[in-house]
Amino acid sequence: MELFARNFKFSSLFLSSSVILSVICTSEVPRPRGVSLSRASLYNPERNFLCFDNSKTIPFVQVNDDYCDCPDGSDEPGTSACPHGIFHCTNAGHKPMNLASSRVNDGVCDCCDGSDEYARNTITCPNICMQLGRHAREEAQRMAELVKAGKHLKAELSQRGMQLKEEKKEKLVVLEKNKEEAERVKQEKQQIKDELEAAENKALEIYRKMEDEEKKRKAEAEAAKNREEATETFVKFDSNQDGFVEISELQTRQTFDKDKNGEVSVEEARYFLNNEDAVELEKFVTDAWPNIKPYLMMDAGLFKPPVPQEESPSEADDLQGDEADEEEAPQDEEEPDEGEDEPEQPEEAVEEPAPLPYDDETQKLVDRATFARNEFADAERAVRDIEAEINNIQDYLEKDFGPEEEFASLQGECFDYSDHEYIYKLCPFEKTTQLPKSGSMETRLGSWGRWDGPEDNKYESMLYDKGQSCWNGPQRSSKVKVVCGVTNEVTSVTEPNRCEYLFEFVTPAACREIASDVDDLHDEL
Amino acid sequence: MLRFCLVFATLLSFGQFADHDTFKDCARVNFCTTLRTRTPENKYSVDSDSVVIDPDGGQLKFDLLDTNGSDNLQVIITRLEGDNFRVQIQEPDSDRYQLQDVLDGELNVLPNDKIVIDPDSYTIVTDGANVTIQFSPFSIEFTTNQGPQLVLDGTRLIFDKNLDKAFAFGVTFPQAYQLYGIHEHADGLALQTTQVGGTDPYRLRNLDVSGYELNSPMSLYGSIPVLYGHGSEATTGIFLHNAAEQWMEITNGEDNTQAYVMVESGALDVFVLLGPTPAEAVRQYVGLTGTAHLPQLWALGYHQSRWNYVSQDDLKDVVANFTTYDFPLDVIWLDIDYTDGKKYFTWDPNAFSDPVEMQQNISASNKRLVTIIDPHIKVEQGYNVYDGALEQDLFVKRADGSNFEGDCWPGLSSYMDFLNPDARDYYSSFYSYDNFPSTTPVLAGIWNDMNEPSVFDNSIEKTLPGDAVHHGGVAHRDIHNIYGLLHTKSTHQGLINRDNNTKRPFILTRSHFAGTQRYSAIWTGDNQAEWGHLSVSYSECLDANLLGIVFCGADVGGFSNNPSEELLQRWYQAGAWLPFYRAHSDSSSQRREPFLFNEDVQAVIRNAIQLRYKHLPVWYTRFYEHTRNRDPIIRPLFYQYPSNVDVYNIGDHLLLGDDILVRAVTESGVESVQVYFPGGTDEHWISISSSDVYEGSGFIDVPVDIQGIPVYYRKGSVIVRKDTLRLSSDEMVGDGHTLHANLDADNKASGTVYLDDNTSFNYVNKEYNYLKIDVDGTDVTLTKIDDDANSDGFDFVIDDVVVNKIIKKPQNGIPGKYETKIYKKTVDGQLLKNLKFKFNDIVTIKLA
Repeated sequence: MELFARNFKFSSLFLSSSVILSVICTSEVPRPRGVSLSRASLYNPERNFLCFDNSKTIPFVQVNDDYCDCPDGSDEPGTSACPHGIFHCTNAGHKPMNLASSRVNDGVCDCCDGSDEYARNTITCPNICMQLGRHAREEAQRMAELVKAGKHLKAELSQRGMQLKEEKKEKLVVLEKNKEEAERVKQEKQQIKDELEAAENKALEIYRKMEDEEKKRKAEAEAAKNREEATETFVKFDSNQDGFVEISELQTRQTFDKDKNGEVSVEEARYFLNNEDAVELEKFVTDAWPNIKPYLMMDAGLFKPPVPQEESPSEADDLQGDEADEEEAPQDEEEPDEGEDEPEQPEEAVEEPAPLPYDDETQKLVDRATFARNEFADAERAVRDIEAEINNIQDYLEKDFGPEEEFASLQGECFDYSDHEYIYKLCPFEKTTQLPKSGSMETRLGSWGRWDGPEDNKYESMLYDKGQSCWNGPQRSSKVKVVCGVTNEVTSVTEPNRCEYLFEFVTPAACREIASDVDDLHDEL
Repeated sequence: MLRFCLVFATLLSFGQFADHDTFKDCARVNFCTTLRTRTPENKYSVDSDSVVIDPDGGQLKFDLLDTNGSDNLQVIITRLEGDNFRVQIQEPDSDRYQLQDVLDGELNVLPNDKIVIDPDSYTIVTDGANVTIQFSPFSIEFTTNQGPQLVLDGTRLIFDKNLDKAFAFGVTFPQAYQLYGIHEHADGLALQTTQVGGTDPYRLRNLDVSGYELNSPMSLYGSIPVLYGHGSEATTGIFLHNAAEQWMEITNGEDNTQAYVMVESGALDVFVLLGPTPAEAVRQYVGLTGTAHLPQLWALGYHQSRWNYVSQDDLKDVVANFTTYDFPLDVIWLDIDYTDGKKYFTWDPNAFSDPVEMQQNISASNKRLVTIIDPHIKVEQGYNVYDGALEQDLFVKRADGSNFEGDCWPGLSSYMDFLNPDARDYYSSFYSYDNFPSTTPVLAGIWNDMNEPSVFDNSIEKTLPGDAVHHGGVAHRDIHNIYGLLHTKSTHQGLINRDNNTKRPFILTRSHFAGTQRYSAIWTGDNQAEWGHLSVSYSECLDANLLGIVFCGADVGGFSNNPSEELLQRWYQAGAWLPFYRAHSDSSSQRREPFLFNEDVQAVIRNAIQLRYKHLPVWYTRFYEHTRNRDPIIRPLFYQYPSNVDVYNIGDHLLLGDDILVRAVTESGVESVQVYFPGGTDEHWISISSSDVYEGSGFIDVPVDIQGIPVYYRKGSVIVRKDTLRLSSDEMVGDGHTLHANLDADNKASGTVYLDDNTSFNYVNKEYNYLKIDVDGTDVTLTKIDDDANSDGFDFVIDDVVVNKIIKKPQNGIPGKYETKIYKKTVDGQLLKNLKFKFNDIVTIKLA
């Protein structure tokens, strides 16, 4: 198995079959195994060896004798004898590397020059530094070209972004000015409106009084009519004409079968008589009639009991989402009524009496006041509209689109990514979403939160949080790794933790100079 | 993945509390309620005319007469090797299911060479024990030269035609104060007293209990019906050879230690273990159900798992990060989502499109892969595993004869009938490289989960119904508790066949029973990221070790929820001292691979894992010795110090072998912990993280910081380590050893070490190097233990010898001091590591 695996590891790197077993070193300066060029002078075969921490001096033959003399491990740079030693591989043709000494002779080829594995006969590590180096240089070249192309595009993006920002700022100045003007107009209109309304009010005073009187008169007429109707009914119901309406007299009338069981029970009848066994006319009119009237109206088809309102399905609840719909038990049916179909008291349908016509003078005042009110409403709306526009621009200006506004033009756009199950969408500075290919319910994976890359470049990563909650889990959130590329494109989406998504997004806006490899390998002292 | 989360979310967790609506207490189980409150009665007496002695067969047979005449019984007592006895009681014409597949091979029956016949009793007399059968009231009393040890009490024997097949019996332990055993419960090491109106009886019914509770007698995933009665003078035990549902009422206390066992069905078949020490009782039990074979060395390394690494790239990243951040790792695991729609023996074609390349990648850094394979089979025409099993009629049936179908991870599933040898063969054949596509030897082990078996139906306690039918018409209730055992048996055979018997299989199982140790390691199932669960991981695995299943661990960090950084660090430190060392977590938890934390936390976790790797030779040697002498790998204090009554309840300390004492830190934010040092003032314990030395016996408050937990070497021990830090066990193979010699007052110390090819069964044919190491001052003597062992190729290489010498004795609880000297050369100036001894005899090395 081991052999197979190792073959794989190297064959995948197109290596030649030549095997170079590093013996002492591969460069021209002689030095013990595992020692970097910069430290070669510290290992002088002519002299005793002084541990780097000055703790001990040992004969030079004890360097790399596979016995750890120095507490700092400096006497065993080429073996695994010291627990915290460091092994240096030169890796000529590629990048030099420092290894923990525990990687020396552990059966794994760590150095591309193979120098870390020399003691086990179960493994040979060929020198593949040339291939790796070439590969790395090609890769670096490719990256450099990509960055170059990307930076070019990024410059355009930045320019556009800055221009956009300038435009917004200019617009803001104009809007602030417009707002001032609109406020002024609004005030003016308010003043006019207030004055005209005062005049209108005064003129209308007399009409209000008249209207009140009319209302009162109508109410009295209504009451009289009601009484008349009640009295008529009383007479009709009082079939034995004894001056009382009794339970038995109601029991003959199907109208009063509240529970619709085919007969009018004593209780039902009593209900209508306001819990009396019999009522005389006056009581009938005041106490029984309000109970009876609705049923008579219902019978006559004049009145229908209110239909229980269907609970309108609430709009897609942002916090629940698709799974909730799958899981949720059907909404409880409306509580059934207690079996009785009891009509509510019909609202006394008091129709507002038609307003009395105004005289010409008054009408004129009313019209002018109305006109002033409309004018004021328009002025008020104009201020609000401007304020909204200002807020929008301020929001925009507060957003961090990168040091050179390079991300600005991504706002308002959306980028899709499909895997075998879902279509994901990234709308930069707005949201991330997920749509099942087999469904239509879009799930919000997060709303724009903030840049949250590491301190040295926070623009490496975006956070979209407060998405829809997972069923019995946290709110969804997404991280978007932003990397340099020549197009704007989502290249992968995964869910490394449940309900936490990871998008990878390439964009020229992320192209920046790659920090050149600081090669500290020669000066690690 | 999301979809499954939604559908099964309810079944997975949520809530810290087990679902008592689903999982029953005694009051909701008919036979338990009925039997629990039966008062003892003088129902049975021996029919003296019926006694049949079969001296050669070692059996004594007689009838029990029911005073009412309706429930007469027959008793068979068999004398076994090692002064163990088997007692079988059932109706004369019984059609009860006689359990198979559990005992390890044939029993060694000894002849009854002496039986004393009295008018009202018979007594079987052996060298070590007397077994007296009292005629009326009926009882069977086991007596050793230390007095009466164990009594099967006739007044609590209940067979009743009205109870269908349910029965009950009582056992008293006259010498014991405390009962132990009956894995698996999330409870302290010592069993609690249970009683009507108090704690429910301990239940043994393998169930998929999510969010299980601590300190509870509820059933969990596995059942080992073994009870030890332990007192300061003697330890005895019983093993109930029965796989049906059981409830055990426990009473502890001087002169009143007893158990009352209620069983749903199957046979009353009890093995009596007469000790007299805990070690002997354990050996007697393990003699019946077998030892674990040696694991391959890598299985003792660190395992990293998660539900789920979502793709091959994700997995490769995780493995690469272990290397980048310098964490040793041997095995990466894949949970259910690697499969194509939870169809086992397949790969998800999208997320795991190139499993072979992935395995090569894993292997390139000397790691291995374990994947999950469950016993439920997706009902889907065209799925080869399903189609073949359907065609050959290998599924468990409903009572009406149709194939049982129930919900599990894949949706509608049927369940392999592992009681059927054909089904075991069939299932095992899918592990072959041909039948499990895209697998290579890098897929080095298998994880058998959900094998209680789990069925997503709360109305049947999330498992198969009792009236489901197995091969040969056997009702599921009769064999329920061995379903998981048989599952792993099939898997074990599959892995043996796959590699032509050249590799020791590695299997991890959730459900288990007596005998599981022959096939598989276990873990404690879906625990939680809580301090209490860290603590219970010790008591559960100590219990399992006393009951033969030595290869035990718990999910490091806790499966459900998210551990604090402190808890996670403590868990890595404690988990390193359980035999199976794996981190695993739920899909809804945050990722917590060790490289994801800040450098301080990383350093603590790295140290914990490295300490594990340094002690791999100890672990490997103890596992070998288990195969030889049946001893537990980790041991509670009472096992090693049985006469010390103060240690009976200590479950958060363990001894690895005899020589390493570990105290898990299971408390948050502490600056010191109470450590119990056993063994009296003669015993000294040498701290591995300071120069302190402690003496027994008693609790001492020991300072701790986050860097480590208290670990001690016993005075007089030689601990054989490999201190060169590597990134996997494979990479350590060529490294030499460091001997840590902890000198006693005579400047002596000793230990053992075992080496072999780490992989094959050749050790069974004595291809190994097993040595005794004696240190005397600066002389190290190595003695080959087995003259006939072939140690070619297994040279014992010593890099250095660390000699720890006590220079100030501890006194009155104040720790003493020791100093350390490191030797790398002999008096002749030769480097130790260059000495490649061939040990044909005895070699003494003189250090300088």
